[in-house]
Amino acid sequence: MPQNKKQFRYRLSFAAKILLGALATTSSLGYGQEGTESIRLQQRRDLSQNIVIGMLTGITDHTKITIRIDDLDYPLSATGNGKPFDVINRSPKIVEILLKRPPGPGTITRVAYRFFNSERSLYQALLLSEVDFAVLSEEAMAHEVVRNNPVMLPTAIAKKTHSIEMIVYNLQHEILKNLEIRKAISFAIRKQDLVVHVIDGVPQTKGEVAKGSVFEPDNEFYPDVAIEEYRHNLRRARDLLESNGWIDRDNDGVREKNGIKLKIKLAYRGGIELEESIARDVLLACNQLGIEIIGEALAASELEAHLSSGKYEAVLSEYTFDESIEAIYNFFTNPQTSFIRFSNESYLMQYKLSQQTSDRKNIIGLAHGMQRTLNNQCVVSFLFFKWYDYAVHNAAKLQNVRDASSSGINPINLWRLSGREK
Amino acid sequence: MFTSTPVHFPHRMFSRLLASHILLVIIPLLTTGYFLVRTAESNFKEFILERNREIALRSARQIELTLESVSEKLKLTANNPSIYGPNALYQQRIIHNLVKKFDIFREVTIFDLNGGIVQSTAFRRLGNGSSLPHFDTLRRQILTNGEYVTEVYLSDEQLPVMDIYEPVVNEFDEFISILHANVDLKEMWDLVDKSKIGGEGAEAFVFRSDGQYIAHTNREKVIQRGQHFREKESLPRIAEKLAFSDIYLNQQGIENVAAYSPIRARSINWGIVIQQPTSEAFAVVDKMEFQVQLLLGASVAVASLIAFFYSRIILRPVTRLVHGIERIASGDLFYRIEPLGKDEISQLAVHINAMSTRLRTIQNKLKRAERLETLSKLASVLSHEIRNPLNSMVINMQILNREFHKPAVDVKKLDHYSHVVASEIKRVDDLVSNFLLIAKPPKLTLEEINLGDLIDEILATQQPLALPKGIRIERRYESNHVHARIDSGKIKQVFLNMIINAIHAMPGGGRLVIEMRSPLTRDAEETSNMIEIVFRDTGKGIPPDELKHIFDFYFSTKPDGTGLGLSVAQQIVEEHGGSIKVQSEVEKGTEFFIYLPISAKSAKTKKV
Repeated sequence: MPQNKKQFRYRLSFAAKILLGALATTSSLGYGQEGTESIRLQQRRDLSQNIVIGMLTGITDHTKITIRIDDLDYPLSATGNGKPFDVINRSPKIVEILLKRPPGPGTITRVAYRFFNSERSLYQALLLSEVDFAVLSEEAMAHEVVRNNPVMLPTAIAKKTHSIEMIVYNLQHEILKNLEIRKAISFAIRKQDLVVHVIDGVPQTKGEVAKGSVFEPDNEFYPDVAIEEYRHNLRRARDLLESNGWIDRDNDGVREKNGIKLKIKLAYRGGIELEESIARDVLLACNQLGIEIIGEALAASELEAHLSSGKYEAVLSEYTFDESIEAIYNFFTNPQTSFIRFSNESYLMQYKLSQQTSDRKNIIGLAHGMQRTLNNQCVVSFLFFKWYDYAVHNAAKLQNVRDASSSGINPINLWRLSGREK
Repeated sequence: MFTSTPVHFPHRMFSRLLASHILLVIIPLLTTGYFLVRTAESNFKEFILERNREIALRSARQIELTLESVSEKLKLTANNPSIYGPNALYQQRIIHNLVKKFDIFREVTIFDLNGGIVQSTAFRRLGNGSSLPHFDTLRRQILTNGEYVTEVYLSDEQLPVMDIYEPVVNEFDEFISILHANVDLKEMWDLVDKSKIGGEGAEAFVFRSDGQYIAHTNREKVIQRGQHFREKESLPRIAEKLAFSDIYLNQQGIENVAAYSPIRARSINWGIVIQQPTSEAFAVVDKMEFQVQLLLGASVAVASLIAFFYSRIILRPVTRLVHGIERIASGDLFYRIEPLGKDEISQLAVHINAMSTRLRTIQNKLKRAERLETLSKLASVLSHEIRNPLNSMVINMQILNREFHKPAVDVKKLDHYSHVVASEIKRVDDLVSNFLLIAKPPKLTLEEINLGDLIDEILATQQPLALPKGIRIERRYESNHVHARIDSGKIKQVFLNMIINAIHAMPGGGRLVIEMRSPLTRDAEETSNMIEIVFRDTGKGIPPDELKHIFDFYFSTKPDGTGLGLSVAQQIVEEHGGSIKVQSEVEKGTEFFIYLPISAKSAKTKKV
């Protein structure tokens, strides 16, 4: 009998766990789930404390989300019970967390990260107010969201300095290991066009053209003496290719050499309007040069897999550099952190010397030298420094999202729900 | 309360004059205003309907032009030799430039005749090696119609798109490939937004032939599947495919002004509707109507005010005339009406003044005649009355003389007879004194006196005398503020006479009621400014044969009465422009009614 009792108790607790699990699942935004009326009511109550954040699979995937609470960025994948939230649901389409903070008037108790394949589908969800907060790549799109859904409010989030957009080349690739080709591509791109976008018929600047460095020109790490800026010069680009033997012999428009067509795959983060637009501009620029660009729109996870496996040719990449020589080394060379793995004797020597000195002036001088090498070897094509991302949030539902002092976004625990959604 | 006061003629005339003035202004004003408002309202509504129809037409034309231009651009691209040339990069450049320059092109693709993708701006498509489904059907359609335009559908992102296919024909007129464009109809939203007229309740939308929304000012209606323009059936004229504007009730029961125009571009068969609630669309009309009504109201008010003052100006001489006539009618024959101008009413005032003067003369003559008549009556009565004491005196003097000549003079008798003679002489003296009182017209010293206070003053002295005799005096005044221009001494004498007579009439006790009220029985015209003072006792009453002589000189029912009290009272009251009358019933009591003219300042409405 005691054994039976134990079994019964065990079964009861098991059934209770299943029931609780089911309740948790059905209350988790109710995507495709069914439940009793009381569960639905509970769910509706829960939803009133919920917010939905729109994410783009092209930017990040569900395993890489971070949440900012009290000025600290916590990865959602973090383990342990010290973190101020619990992940209650995780799938490639949605990740839900419960904030551990004691609920108060207007505090957010649950956050759902909903993933979208493209900014257009995110845009659609924003129009229907299905998403309460999202970060968009283009001001024009944020502008359009606000125009079409007046409850949405835009916020320009200033990007960190030295956040650079560039084309990274696979230096081991059969075609791209050729310096002249990399240089020709750099000369072909009209970088000035990339930083101008048109909103309501008015051209506006959205960033600053990068001039041969990962650092912005007004920074001390910028090697401003005699650096090649790779300004648009189609003639020079053609000369570089032709002097290297890349000629269109069969008049199909694509140059070839030794039977190899000058075709390059350009991978970029798919579904992001800005990336797509840059990819198109690069394609058109290369097209004029006789280089066929084949675009590859990839999800963030796919892109990362490609990069880590070395199966890439050219990649449209955005990266933010710290003002240090290590940041350069880690991105371009360090085998632990870099997928480029650039190696050059003088470049490595300069890095080593920088490790042996503490004199900042020397370090900066060495960083200049390393960057000159990177630029001369055209390891990447520097495009531009982007100034802003554009967040939109449902102002009828959320308050205190904007951080007025820093022209950015407040940590999520400071956001407050409005009394009633319009 | 003095509410039985008759209606004042001048006020009625004023009201009539005012009413006629107002009506003369208001009726034409309101009639004109009504027709003006109705005409303007009708014209405005027609104008709004027509304007909306025009806007719908213009918007439809804009959308048609947009679609035409999309089609034209695609056609031009399809005709570009580079698109069917061998140079793949040229093809790539052309289609990517198309997408880059025109946001309306979501994707552009070149298909070969087997449905395989030759070039595409959608980067993924190329890599996937995808091909076009139902290609044979599509190719037939393109060959038949020259192009193929699909219905609008929602893309993977749930946004409205449509596909246009153009044949690519080379210089030898050979159909070699198909140029496809995925058209982003989101680009039409701005056009629809611009077409919207009005505020929050207003809408503008484009819909397919089956009613599905393609573009709508409310984005949700487009983005969410299954949203149709269900009220299409309420507007049967849509089937005619002609632009119109109409008023209809939507499914929420809101009345809308809707303007429709068909959109015909290539094989497209859409429609645009621009609508707004009538309450909003015709708000201007309602506002105008309200303003006109306000204006009319203000005009009526101003006209009434002007009419009021104008009527008062017109009636001012009349009012003055009436007031003067009232004064004259109340006995003030010395009053003169001041003429206000040279009109007929002023002329009337002059005549009335003349009439008043003549009346005064006649009145004086009448008074003199009356006095003479009275004197003659009095003389006959007096001669009779004097003869008796004279006879008595003669007899008593003869007896006195006889007794005086007797040897034994009885002093007691002498004293008695001399006393009788003296008494008779006094009686004659009294008669002569009273005669003088009557014969000599009383000289009145008029002053404004509160009648209630005057009666109360008399009662203060008489009540202590009445109470021991078992007489209760009760006073009932309708108002405590009844004033009259009287000779207070004379009127006091009258009231005292009334009270003393009443006390004498109730030797075994009783009740005397003194009532002051507006006259009840007399002719309204005469009593409009009179007060009635009633002295009602519960005494033995006066027999009817005595009652008719009660105001006669030297008539008295009392053994020691002079018979002059009531005559003098009547004379005093009449000298004040009033009158006196009596009613009596034997064994029940007597009522004396004294009517006196009162001053304007008497508060007739205030009750005790």
